[in-house]
Parts: sequence; structure tokens; C-alpha cells
Amino acid sequence: MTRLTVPDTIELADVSIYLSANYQGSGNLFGERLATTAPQTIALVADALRWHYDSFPAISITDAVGSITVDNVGNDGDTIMVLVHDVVYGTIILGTYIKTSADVDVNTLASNICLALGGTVLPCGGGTRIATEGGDLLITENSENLIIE
Amino acid sequence: MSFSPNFTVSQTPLNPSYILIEDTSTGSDAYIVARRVYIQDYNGDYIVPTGTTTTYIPWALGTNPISLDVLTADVAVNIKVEWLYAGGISKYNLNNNYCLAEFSRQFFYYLIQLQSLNYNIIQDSNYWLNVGILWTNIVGAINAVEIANDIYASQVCLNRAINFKNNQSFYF
Repeated sequence: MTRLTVPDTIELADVSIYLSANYQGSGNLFGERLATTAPQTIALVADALRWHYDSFPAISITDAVGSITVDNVGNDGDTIMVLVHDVVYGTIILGTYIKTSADVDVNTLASNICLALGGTVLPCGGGTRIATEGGDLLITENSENLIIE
Repeated sequence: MSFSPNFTVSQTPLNPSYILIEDTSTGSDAYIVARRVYIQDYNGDYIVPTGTTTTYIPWALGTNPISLDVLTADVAVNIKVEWLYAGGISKYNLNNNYCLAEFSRQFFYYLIQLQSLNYNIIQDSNYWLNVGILWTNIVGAINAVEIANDIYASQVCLNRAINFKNNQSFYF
């Protein structure tokens, strides 16, 4: 399924404010609706997203964000499995990586874990950015933190 | 082609302390030898970088855009750029009002981001009410300048937003 871009999401939110307000308005005829603050809530969250996107437009896809801190290289042969526990889909295995002797430090190990998850290593400030096939971004925020976006 | 002055103003997202001003003038005037920036707050006071003794900030013609580290909080300001002939003669000038609300906008996004990690926080007493008031003030500050061209009203709204940010442990 094609995911919504941030501008798509903002546009949908802007439309939803009016739709939601209309729905609340119809409650005057047909009985009070749930969540009477829904139009305001949508407006607040839409502006939060709009302002952040104005400032940082490089973020183009609305993905969940998690982080992994690689603070120890461990031992050769160790298996590193990256999992997501989703309330709907249960446990999702993003990928596994077996530590080798080439992983001499946490940065190399973090990069190789990202590569094992299907990414391409690109320079990104002090860390590493990995763009995966599906458009997901895996980013090492600093020298040790691996952020999966 | 005759010189037509113009410029844009923005607050640097990665570090909102900085104002970025870009000269987008068209045409040329060979007699222009210098350029200055004046930044005035709602009270008429001039905002300049630390150590500047003049009310204006010199802006070398070879530098574009210019980045000015002058803010500690959001402000509504009037920014004027002057293009000068020899002898300090102001030949062209242009000014406009701006609401620089990046600190507050980023703080607001931060709150919503935290909320996604701990959704139950909206059940806290007055939490959602305060988020709403903060949002209203940020939007009000922006609208005061964009619609009414009023930096005083804009600054009053920004001051309320700044109060929320400075006392976030109390409000949120």
C-alpha cells in the first residue's frame, strides 16, 4: 500500500477538520456525538505536523520511529535480531545479523545491522543514514544510536 | 535594469537563535557600496548581536544570505534593510514585519510528539486545555502579523507561548 506523504497527511487533516466539525454540528439534530473536541484536536495535531514539516521538509514519509542503541560490539558469532512488537500484527522481525570479526567497533556494527535490514549506507553528519528499499530510513543519530524511522 | 530591493527572512530551524536574511533584490546599481540591517522589536528597541554598538547590523555586499545570532526567544519584529551609497547615504530601503515563532512551534511539535508516546497524558488535569491555549497563542501570533501587520499583538501572544515553554513542568 502506498503510504501517505507528510503533505498528503496535512491536506487530509485540513479537510478532516471541517468534516469533523460538520459531524459534530449534525449532533444538534440527531443527538450529541462522541469526542466533541475532535475538530480542535485534529487542528492542533495538523498544525504541529505542518510546522515541523515547514522546518524540516526532508522528512517526507510518515513512519513510526524507534531507536536502538549499539553500545557494545559483543562477540563474533552473536546473533542480533531486530524486532518490533506491534499491538495489531504481533512480533515483526525486521532482520537479523551475525556479528563478525570485521565489526571492530559499535559504529561498524550499527552500519552492518542496518545493511542487514536491507539498507544502503550513506554519510549523515556524525553517524550513518541508511535508505531502505521501501523508503524507510534507518539513521544512526550519533556515533552509537541507531534510529529506525 | 533598475535596482528593485527585496529580501526574505526566516528563523533557522536547527538553531532558532539565528535569523537568516537573504537579499533577493533584482537589477543593479553600481553606486551601492554598503548594506545594513535594522531589527526592531515591538517596543521599538533595536536587536543586535552581542558586542554590536550601533543600532544596525552591517551586512557586507559580498555576503548573502546573512545569519544573525540575536534571539533567545521568539519575537515579533520589524526588519529593515538599507542599501547605501558612499558617505552613508541611504538610497534604497525596505522593511517588513515578521513573527519569528520557531522556538514555540518546535516546542508545540515536541509536546505532540511526547503525547504519541504517552497518550494517556491528555487525561491529566488541564493538560489538553493548556496545549490548546499554547496553540491558540502561536497561531494568534502568526496571524497578528500576517493578517493585521501588528507586531505588538503578535509579541503579546508570543509572550504567553514563551511562558508555557518556560514553565512546561507546571503546565504539561
